[in-house]
Amino acid sequence: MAVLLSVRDLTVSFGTRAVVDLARLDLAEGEILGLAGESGAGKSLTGLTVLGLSEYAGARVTGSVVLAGEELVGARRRRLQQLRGSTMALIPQSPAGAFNPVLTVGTTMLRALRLHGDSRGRARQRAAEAMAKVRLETAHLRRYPHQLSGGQLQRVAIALALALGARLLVADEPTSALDVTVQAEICALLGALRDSEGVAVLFISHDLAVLGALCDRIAVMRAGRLVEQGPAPELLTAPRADYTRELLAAALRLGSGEEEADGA
Amino acid sequence: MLSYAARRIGLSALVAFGVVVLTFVIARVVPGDPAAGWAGPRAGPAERDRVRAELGLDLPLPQQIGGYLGGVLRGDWGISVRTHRPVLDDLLALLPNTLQLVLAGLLIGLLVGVPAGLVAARWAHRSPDLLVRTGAVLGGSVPVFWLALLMQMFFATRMGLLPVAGSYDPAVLAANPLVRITGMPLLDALLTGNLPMAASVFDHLVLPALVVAAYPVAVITRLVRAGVLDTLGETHVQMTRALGFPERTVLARFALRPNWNPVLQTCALIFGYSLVNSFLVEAIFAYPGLGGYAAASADVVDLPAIVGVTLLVALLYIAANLLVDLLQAALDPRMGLR
Repeated sequence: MAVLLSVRDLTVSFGTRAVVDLARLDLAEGEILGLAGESGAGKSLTGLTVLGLSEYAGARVTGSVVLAGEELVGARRRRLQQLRGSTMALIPQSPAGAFNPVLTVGTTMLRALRLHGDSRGRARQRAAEAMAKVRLETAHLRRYPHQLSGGQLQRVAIALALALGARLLVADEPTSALDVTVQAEICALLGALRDSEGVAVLFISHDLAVLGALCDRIAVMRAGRLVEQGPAPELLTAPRADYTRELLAAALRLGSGEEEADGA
Repeated sequence: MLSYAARRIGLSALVAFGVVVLTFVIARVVPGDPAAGWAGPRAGPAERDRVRAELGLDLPLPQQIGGYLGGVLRGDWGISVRTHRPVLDDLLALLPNTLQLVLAGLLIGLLVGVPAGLVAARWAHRSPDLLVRTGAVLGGSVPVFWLALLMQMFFATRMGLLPVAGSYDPAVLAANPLVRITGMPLLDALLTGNLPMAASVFDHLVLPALVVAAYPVAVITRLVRAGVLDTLGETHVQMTRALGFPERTVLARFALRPNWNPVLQTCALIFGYSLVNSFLVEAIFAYPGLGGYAAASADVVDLPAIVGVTLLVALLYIAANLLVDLLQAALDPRMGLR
């Protein structure tokens, strides 16, 4: 399959300290790549950097991030804004806080679609289609965030990405704020969308059980660097790196699949 | 929503009642004998007693309050000792002028304060922010009378751009008589298409309105800056950036939105503050309004008039807060739940 995202020699630093230092990471179209590692390993920052958002936090980025043949590091701000939403989208960690509290989720969605060039009518139509794809009703668009559950909001976030036609979803711990049954639903939905829509997902999580169930491949990060990467079943059953083994052992001790205390 | 509104209105009525009682009690317990003032310096004890009975001052306090309350409700706010006219008539004749001044100040406060706050938040801790914050500190701390004099000296006397004082040019009014609709000269002139008069009123309004606006601009600027900066740290802002919105839109259309409620709430407070502040400004700019009336009434201890002004200002303040409460409920979908 064609490569959608390729990361080479990417460093993200605050001041003089490099927090992320990735030699090589590739993501094919229609593939779900899990990015694993403990808190503070640089997973989320990697995701934000792919979206071109880490600069807002004051980070300095060097190296190369190529999305669908286009270099993103050092790209013009205007171009990055065009690509955000339309080609790559963020599936947030905490869906409850990811929508403007005083706007209906439909307003946010329509504004985003209009921003990326849809007419009013076309935007409405696409929003409705996308809601159907995540198995929500169009009426949910008229709700305010506090009137929807976490799982519903996460579906809306996914619908938003689909409506905009994003090819790459950067899912930053998308299930860690949800309870276990809803986690499973969201994972199933992402898997189904990969199959039906051909979207690629960069799935960031510290939960190896979730990653194992969903991902095609898994990359393990520690202290900003890649420890190892490979096909999911292989990596989980026969890890090569000690650190991966440690992570696996920790997950087993916790009883895989149980919700973990820290979502940060 | 409807029950929320009903509850707020009921509460406001209660507060208004409290204010009436308080105003009345303060007016009656302060040193000095209203009966002696009314009867005049040459009246004897017998005269004073007669007047006391006539004014109902010999009745028990609760009964007096009851009578006063009844009068206020019927629209009888007493007769001014100074003007010999019903206090309510005097107040209603002057109120629109003061409202025009205060509302103009508040409007400038919003029109300048909101964008300035956004600019400061957009470039936080950099030169635009420092500039805006310095301006806000100055605007919030400069004494109104000093600013007023400075403006008069600079814009009116030195540069001759704007009139020094007054609320219109009498010659213009003579040529273009004003029809009273709202009582606010600028609004009436615009509504009736009386453009020469509108221009004259506007010219006279600019300087006092700017002086009244100094405080609202400062407060709103700081509030918007702090609120938006706070909101910028929230996940939904990152989400709007991830959707590709340019930073200008992220700030003005998304991050600002949840901050309208605190801004509105503060507007009600500023309204009350500016109302009192405008009394000074009116005096300096010889602008006819409640301020001049209150000052003149205080000069001759015109008790019914003083009490009337206090009560009116309090009622306006309550009304402004009520309006804001209802607006907030309409603006923020989460408010209805409380």
